[in-house]
Amino acid sequence: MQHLDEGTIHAWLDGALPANEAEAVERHARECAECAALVADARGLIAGAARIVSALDAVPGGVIPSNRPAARRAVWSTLRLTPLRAALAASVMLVAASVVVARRAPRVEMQTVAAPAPEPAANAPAPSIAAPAAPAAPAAAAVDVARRPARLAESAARRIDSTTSPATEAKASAATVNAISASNAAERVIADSALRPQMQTAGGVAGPARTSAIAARTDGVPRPTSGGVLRLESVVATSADGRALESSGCYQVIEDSAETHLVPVRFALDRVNTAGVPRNVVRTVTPDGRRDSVVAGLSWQAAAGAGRVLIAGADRREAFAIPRSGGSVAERFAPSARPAPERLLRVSRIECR
Amino acid sequence: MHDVDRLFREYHQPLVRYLTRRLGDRDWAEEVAQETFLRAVKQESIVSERSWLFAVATNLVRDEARKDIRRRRRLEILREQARAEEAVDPEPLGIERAQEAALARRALDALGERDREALLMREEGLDYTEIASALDLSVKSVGTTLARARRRLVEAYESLQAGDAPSGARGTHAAS
Repeated sequence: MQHLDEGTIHAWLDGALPANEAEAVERHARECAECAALVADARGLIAGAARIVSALDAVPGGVIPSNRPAARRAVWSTLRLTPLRAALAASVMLVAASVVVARRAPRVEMQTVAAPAPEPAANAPAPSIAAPAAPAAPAAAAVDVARRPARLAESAARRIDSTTSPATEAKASAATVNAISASNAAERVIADSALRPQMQTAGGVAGPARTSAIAARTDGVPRPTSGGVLRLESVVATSADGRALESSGCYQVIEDSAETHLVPVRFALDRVNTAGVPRNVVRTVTPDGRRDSVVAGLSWQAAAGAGRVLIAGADRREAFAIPRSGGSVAERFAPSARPAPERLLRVSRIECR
Repeated sequence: MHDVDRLFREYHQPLVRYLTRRLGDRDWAEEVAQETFLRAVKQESIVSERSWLFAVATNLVRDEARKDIRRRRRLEILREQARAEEAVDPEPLGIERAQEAALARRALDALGERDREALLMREEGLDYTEIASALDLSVKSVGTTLARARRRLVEAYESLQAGDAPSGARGTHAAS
């Protein structure tokens, strides 16, 4: 069989080939190292493109000009305004406004004096007390819901503390990281709601998308949102204080039992500044140990206090322990849509420049 | 006459998402989707509903895209809005998301129109036959089209992230 062309590989990976052709392609990819590399490359492109496309969903509404310019023209022509007439009208308005302000000025002064005067508690303005209280209740409820999986995971971890089965341990670790992520994500939203309550009701894509992403995590098991893909926003992370995290550095994958790989074989967890905003990015590392291009759509964060790093893409997440010098044990986070908690990702730190 | 309710229930959401990704504006996407469903109501018979709807919506977008003045104004407004967002939004996640969306939009704009449409349709779950039918391509060429589209999209995104202009960028949103 001839080498596979890119179109055929993509068609195969998209499940668009007839069974007999798909079989032949699969067989060839298994036997031919060159084509196997192309397949791996295509897998990366498919995942990368999907992440980029899903980032497009954060779009504003109402930005089309529609008839705004036309409407403006219609008003001018309807009123038959000329620059001279407009200037006259503006002058009249200015004079009228000055008169009104001048007349009201003393009253304003009286009000400012009267305001601090002691009043009975019953006369206190109710809205100023009630308004901040309203968002507090749902926020507290959200904390409780969001932290529940964390508590459950912790108690589960305690229960299986004496268990020696590696598979069970991996599952428990995955659950813990999952819960940490859920809790962190929810706290971020809570911080949002506390600081900017108006954003919660501002509409647009950001609100509902964020809500659904968090909802997907509050039970501890990520669920796909629209189109079977988890959105990136709830797991994108930077360190709270904006400083570089200790987990940044270069790693090499020693073992990854997954069919599709989220991270390259050699990768670096890096920090970049885009327009003054620090971002955590994943870079490929060349065989000679040089930091190379940024992997599209991937982000990472340190799972606080757990000595783990969480790498997130649009549709799945992987976690691994930060290996100490010479160590390499780590665990893999189950992808949301295709649960496989028994899979392991083993990495080791490498030197890079 | 079609079962309009069912058509709407099944295809409105994916169609609007496809159009939103394609156009970068939800309101505009809703407008085009509505027009598409109106045309579906008037249509006597539709063989493949999904590919028909996506094809009509794509053609409507292309018609719209030919109106250069509107397109330029829209881009100006988007640019202004992006600047304003950068200036006033203090929330890191918001900025990050906006930046990612803006990079993704620019990377998508760097693709040829057909590549872009094929890719967005595929991301909405259309199979190769449906994409071929909607874009008037042969089924065999869909794989090549998608491979090219994905590669260019990822390359353009990466080069934008690195601060370069994407190679072969068209710089316009809906250029044909």
